Amino acid sequence: MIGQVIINGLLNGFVYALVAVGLTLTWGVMDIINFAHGEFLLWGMYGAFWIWALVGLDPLISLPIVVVLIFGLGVLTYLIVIRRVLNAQGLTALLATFGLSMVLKNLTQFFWTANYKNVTTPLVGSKSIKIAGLFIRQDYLVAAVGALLLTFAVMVFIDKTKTGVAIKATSMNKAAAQLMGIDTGKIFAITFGLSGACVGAAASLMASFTPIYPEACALYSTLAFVIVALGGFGNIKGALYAGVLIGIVESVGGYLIGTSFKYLVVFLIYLVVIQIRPRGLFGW
Amino acid sequence: MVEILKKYRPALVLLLLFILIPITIGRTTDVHNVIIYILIYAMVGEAWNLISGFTGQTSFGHAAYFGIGAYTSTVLLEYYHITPWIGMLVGGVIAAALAFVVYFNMFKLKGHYFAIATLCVAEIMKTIFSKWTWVGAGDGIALTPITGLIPGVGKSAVAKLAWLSLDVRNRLPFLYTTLAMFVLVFIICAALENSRIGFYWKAIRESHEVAESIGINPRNYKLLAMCISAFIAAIGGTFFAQFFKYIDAITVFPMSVSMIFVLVTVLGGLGNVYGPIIGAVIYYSLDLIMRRLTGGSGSGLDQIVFGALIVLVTCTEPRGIMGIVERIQEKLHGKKKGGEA
Repeated sequence: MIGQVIINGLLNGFVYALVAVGLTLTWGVMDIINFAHGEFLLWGMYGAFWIWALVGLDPLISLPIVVVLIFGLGVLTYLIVIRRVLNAQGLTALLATFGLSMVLKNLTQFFWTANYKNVTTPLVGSKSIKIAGLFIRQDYLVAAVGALLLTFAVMVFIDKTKTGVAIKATSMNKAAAQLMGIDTGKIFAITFGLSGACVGAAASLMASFTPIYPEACALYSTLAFVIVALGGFGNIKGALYAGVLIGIVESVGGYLIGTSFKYLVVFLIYLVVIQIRPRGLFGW
Repeated sequence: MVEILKKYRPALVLLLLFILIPITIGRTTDVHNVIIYILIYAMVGEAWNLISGFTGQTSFGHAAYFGIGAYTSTVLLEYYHITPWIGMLVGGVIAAALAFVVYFNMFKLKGHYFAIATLCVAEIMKTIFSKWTWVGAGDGIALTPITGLIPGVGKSAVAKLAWLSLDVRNRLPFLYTTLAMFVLVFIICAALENSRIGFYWKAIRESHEVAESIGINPRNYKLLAMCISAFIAAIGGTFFAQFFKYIDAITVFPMSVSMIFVLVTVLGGLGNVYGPIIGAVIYYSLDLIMRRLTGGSGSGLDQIVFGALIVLVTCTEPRGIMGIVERIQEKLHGKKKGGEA
């Protein structure tokens, strides 16, 4: 039984991780708390839903389209809003992203009402397969594996490509990166786009089994904040491990002391870990 | 005395407006409600400003204290028939005690790590209170009208009791009571800002290391700021409960409530004692106007326009509304004041 609980948490955790990786990119590189991150996820889900409803493409197949769309949304957000508040004092940037989240969330309500939307004929159904005595839902499995692969893809991109290294350099020292000839403005735009691409992908992976409505992503964004901090800001590997950890903690905690208290355990874990590791599990 | 009055002239003008508007141009229930909300949220905004604006420790979890204030006074009133005037003080002490215990060892966290910790504390409170049957669990607590609470009292006695219990039968007295409490909070915060403690707080905000090197213990002063802040936020919570007449964990503890305090203060001007009230006035007046223009919030159109306005303000004037005010002042005074800004 506990094995079943852990595997469920693990599958959830990979999806949490992908959402958190997106958040940790902007947070670590630009020191911007993007309160509209959850709304990017929401727009990704609506995007996947409407492509399915209008054209008939399953969310899993339309994933690249949604990724490109939300990448664009991220870049646009940077160019229109973030660029202007990047060097402002205090919490101004936070306020800007908060306003943005209000706009994005309520636009979905304005266009498509607050009613639940569901992808009713998903490509991969909710049937379970049995592996080593454990029941694993196929759609969860596909989402988890997809999320894990994409997280690795982001890691490879950051580590191996020239743009990725430039992102890393900018996050370490903006002024030095500029002196080395890096166009930091462009890097910031790409980072924001990449952050959007991560949640766009996560949205596509989840769209087949998650009810889609304006408040759907509130929990994901709160959890993403905790995961990002737990893993250490700007640390992609940290976000992956912390995401998986939170997924398992949530699942096991829910099993041991009751489902209604599962988030209590998640938030407690953060408070405890942060006492021992004040800069997150993998912070330096 | 005259000096102080001169220095806080804008505050006196504001106070006059708050006294006059409810009985002159804004004599509708709608406007009274908005003014009461403005005062309550500005009160907690002032509290938030102490720790986050003056001391520089961003909190995303002030809903924890707000909720504790709301729950404590309500439980004391409903279960033990103790007036909210005492209840709010008890709530304040409990909130401050919680802040003391939880954050005793937490101020070693820097920046966002601390902010997320405060968020976690509020979320934990939300979960506990939404499952705790003694305080109504998921159903919350609806406040009984004062006449129903103590049966067999005469009408004149009820009138007196209403004051004592902060019962909102008539909105206007409640509005002025809230205003008086806000003025008190404002005076306390302004006094703190100009006290030795206030200077220490700002020193810590500007540079932790420098503050330490001149003999300030940053941890102790941050803790002090947090506890005072928690106390005031809890009092705001009591007023909210008395006004709203119904509380549950989802109404008083969620992150969206914590964000209101952040929002009104940053919108008005972070680290400025006028910030919360200016921000709250603008936030809720705009909210009211939007709702009237778009006819209800069902479509979400009011929130869209509103969010866009916030983005616009932040993009054009990063210092918030107080920044715009300062800019106008500079223009009016010409070059006389230009050097100071």
